[in-house]
Amino acid sequence: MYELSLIALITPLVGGLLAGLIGSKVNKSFTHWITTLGIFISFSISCWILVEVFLNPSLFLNQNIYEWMSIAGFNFKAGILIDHLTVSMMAVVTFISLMVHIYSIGYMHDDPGYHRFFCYISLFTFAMLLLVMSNNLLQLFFGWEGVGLMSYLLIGFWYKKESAIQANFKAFIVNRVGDMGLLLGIAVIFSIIGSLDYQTIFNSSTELVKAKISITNGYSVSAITLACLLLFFGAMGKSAQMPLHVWLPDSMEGPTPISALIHAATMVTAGVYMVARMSPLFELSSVALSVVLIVGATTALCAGLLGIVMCDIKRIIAYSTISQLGYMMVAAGVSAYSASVFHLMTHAFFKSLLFLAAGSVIIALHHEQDIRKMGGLKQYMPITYLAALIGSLSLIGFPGFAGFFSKDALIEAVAHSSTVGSEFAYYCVLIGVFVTALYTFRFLFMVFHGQTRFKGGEQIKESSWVILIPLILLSIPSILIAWPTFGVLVFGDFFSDSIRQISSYELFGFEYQSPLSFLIHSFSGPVIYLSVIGIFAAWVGYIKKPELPYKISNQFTTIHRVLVNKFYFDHFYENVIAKNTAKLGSAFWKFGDIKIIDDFLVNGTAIRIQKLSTITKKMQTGYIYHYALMMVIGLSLLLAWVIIKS
Amino acid sequence: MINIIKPIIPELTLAAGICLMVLVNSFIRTPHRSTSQILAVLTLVIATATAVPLFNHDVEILFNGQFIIDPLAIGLKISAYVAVLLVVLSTTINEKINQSEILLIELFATLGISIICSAANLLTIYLGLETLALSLYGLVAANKNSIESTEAAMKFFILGVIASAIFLYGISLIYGIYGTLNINLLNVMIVNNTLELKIAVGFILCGIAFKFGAIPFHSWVPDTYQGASTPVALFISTAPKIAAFALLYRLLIDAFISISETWVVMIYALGMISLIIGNLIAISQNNFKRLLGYSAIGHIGFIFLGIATGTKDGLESSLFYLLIYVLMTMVAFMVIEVLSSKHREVKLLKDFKDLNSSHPWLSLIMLFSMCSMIGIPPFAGFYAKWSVLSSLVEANMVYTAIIAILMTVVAAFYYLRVIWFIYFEKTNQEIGQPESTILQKAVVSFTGIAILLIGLYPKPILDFCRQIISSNLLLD
Repeated sequence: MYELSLIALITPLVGGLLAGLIGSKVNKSFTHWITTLGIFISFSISCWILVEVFLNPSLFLNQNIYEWMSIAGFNFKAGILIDHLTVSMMAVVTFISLMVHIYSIGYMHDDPGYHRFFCYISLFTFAMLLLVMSNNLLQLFFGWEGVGLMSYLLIGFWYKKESAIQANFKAFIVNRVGDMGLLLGIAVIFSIIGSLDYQTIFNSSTELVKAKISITNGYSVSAITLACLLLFFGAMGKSAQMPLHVWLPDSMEGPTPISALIHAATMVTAGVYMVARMSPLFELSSVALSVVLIVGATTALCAGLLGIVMCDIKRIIAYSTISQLGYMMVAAGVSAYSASVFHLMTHAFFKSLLFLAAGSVIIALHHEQDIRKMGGLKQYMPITYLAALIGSLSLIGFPGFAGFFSKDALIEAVAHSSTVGSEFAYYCVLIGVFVTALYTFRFLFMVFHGQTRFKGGEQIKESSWVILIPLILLSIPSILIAWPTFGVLVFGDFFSDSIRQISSYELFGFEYQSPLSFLIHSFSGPVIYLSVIGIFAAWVGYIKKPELPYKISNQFTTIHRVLVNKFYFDHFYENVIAKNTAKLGSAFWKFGDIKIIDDFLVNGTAIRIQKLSTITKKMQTGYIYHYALMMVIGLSLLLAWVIIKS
Repeated sequence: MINIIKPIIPELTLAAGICLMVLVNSFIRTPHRSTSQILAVLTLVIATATAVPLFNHDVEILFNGQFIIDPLAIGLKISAYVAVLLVVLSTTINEKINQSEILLIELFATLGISIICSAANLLTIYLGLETLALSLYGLVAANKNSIESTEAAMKFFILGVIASAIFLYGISLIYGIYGTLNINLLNVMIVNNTLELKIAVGFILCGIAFKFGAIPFHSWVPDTYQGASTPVALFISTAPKIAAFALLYRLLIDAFISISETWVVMIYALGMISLIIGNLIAISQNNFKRLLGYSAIGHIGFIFLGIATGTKDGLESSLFYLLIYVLMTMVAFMVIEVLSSKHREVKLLKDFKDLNSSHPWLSLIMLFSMCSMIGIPPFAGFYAKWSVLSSLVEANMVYTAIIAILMTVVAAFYYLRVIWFIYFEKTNQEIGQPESTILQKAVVSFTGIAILLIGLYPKPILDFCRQIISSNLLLD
């Protein structure tokens, strides 16, 4: 299994490199075949391991590949950890990646950067696998940075577009802020335990609890809390939690398959994955858990509210992604990691489905992304519509769909939790359910129902089969995936070898029997009704009485303005933080760099040495008597020193 | 009989080769270049081959204490032979100067080097020194039609004679004090550090410094490098430095080790001045050969600093540095030798403009050499600098090490400038197809790649140096 998992890890890398290095010299079909084949091999192996794991639950692999370096007694190794969490993540990542590869063959068909694109997404898959298959924090960090880099490159994929460049810059900088936290968190752990290996860290986590780290004189915090908070700060950057969420909506400047793969299904969930992976540590710090909970709940609600006022089809889904990531964090905050990871997986399916459906619409309308210029597309694109409908129903948690099980389970856990802040979180997620239904169906109604608001309707036709096949393939798990897996993954002890979590009864407050009983049980709660009300509200606002939303927004101008301006986060960052940082930087640059380093140290030294050189050069006059004199002076000095000395 | 001859077979081979070449040159009116070259190469190969088995030979003193066989002598001889062999192989045919004459005189010089390496008596040392020096004067003057060359030879000769006189005066003082010229006897006899002795050492040291070209006894170096034809400059910059190291070692370590506190300071002062001023002047040079002359002075500074530690480590690293320096300089000169044609000599820095587009391989070799001289890993020069610096630090001379590093930074400027000209400057002037032979190109490539290979795996050369130095029982 070790060799197989190594192959699963390496094939995307090989495919990506081949596509990038020689792809443009061969042809397009070579590029997409080689990369898709690489991902397919990786996907097959992941599935095989997953099946093995289901058949033989004790399967576990933790093996170092090689020692990377050894400094001052500390060994840094590259290794593979295969447990149930890893296997599930591998299967999800490779499946979505495979779908996106196939989809991109159609979507990117006429793009001049075809080879570059496939190279990047394959390399991204490699980095993501490296991240989830790692058995130590250092390798996780490499994978983390690798996916970040690929995300940066892909957001700015159309590098001639000004806004794309700004967006990838923004993503990169905001992620740096988060990564700083992650790195510091890793450093805290390393400084106390002296190892980055997961197993070693978890085995000696009591040392972290005992250790104190002093911030200032007389004030110190527990190392475990500090480490967890810093790690979570890293997760906030990558998983777009408020207030570090600002980069994700802008990242929609990249090609749509990228939004589906990276900015919905896989990379942005890395933060959630990391929190789940580090659950043995988070469980030891109630402060950190509360922070996770509150940040997640706030994000879940606020991002959903923003989704209601957006008009760009991809941005709506982007805010929805942020909101759903918030849900995952909420679940982690109340220690329901299994629910969190399960929501991560169902979300990966239905959200990439939604994105790819949106991409299909965008391609059909020749890169039109404003939903106000769409409408009535149902009759032109029936399959895309069906896919979007399935994705939407799953997203809002319509009973029976995959999203329903995962979201309902985590809300149950919040309701039953006693973590500090769980009441606040409970109301947030409940309102969030209504909001989710509202913005999702607003999107669905405005795009596919009602009057057509675009020109040249006769030419609109359904997308080609390469685009539709992934939609169909993703629709299936978006509906059905929860039925066979829900019980095992969330309520069973499937993740018990990687996630530390109390028993499901204590966590959810009721005895789980079957998916059907869970479905029936949920009718006694408010969640289903809230989402139905949400759908109804959307129907009233966008089908029945389309003038109603304008009236409402005119009535509540302040709230509307706050929402349209995205809570002024971007204004704050740009006008306060960015501007002042730039001022500070320019002050340093003008004084420190130009005056001290450039003028005085660098150029100054060079000029002085140059002058000295010209002076000393005059020593060499070319006259032989000068030379002889020099020798004699040299000899005299030596002798003089000898004589004086004795 | 054979046992007496065996240790001196290398020298005998050289002498025989020289005689043969003289005969060939006088009987064949227009000697074909390759005849002389083949003879010279054969002589050197046999000399090397006979010297190698002697490396592990027991220490032996021959001819009434005139001649010594020890790892130092044999090791340096082998190094010198190999260096001369490479020089001879890379020498081009050039109608302006008589090539066979140059090869002949180079063999004479090699014999002188050989004698210096094995000398156990101050008189033998002087004999070898003069054999070498006279050959070098001849070599520099070989380009009879060039005013520059003649001027350089004249300067070199006069200054050389002065240095020789100073050195000889030092020897006579020693003889006056102790009544012997035998190095081993001197080593035993020198107990007290008297003023006369110190003065004598001062005089002798001046002679040694002149051979190395340390400041202020350096004036001949840039002029000679610039004035001499490239093959001659190539020779002068390499093999005689090995002889100078032997000279220094025989005198300062073998004879005057007990008064090391006196000469260590002198060597340190000379090394420091050479390091700083050599590198500073090199910055404002436009002639590449002259630049190499000043860079050589800077490198000598490094070698002297290593010796000035007075430790075994320091000497080892200095010897290592010397061998690597010889290799690097050789490559630099070889490249310009290969590039130069009958009509045109590449000597100014601007002649290198855009060399990369016409001669990418030679440019790369030059890049190796320059990077190695700066001390960029993984080239050999890095380990050379590193070993000297680490022995300095171990000898508690941290500030010296810092100054040495700073001067390396200064040096990096002018080496990088060469690279800049080769790779980044554009020109419409064609360098033209050089008339070099495949053999020359092969030798250049071999030497250039050797810099990289030694850098990647320096252990054999380091071990070689260690074996040479550690054989000396006088060092603790």
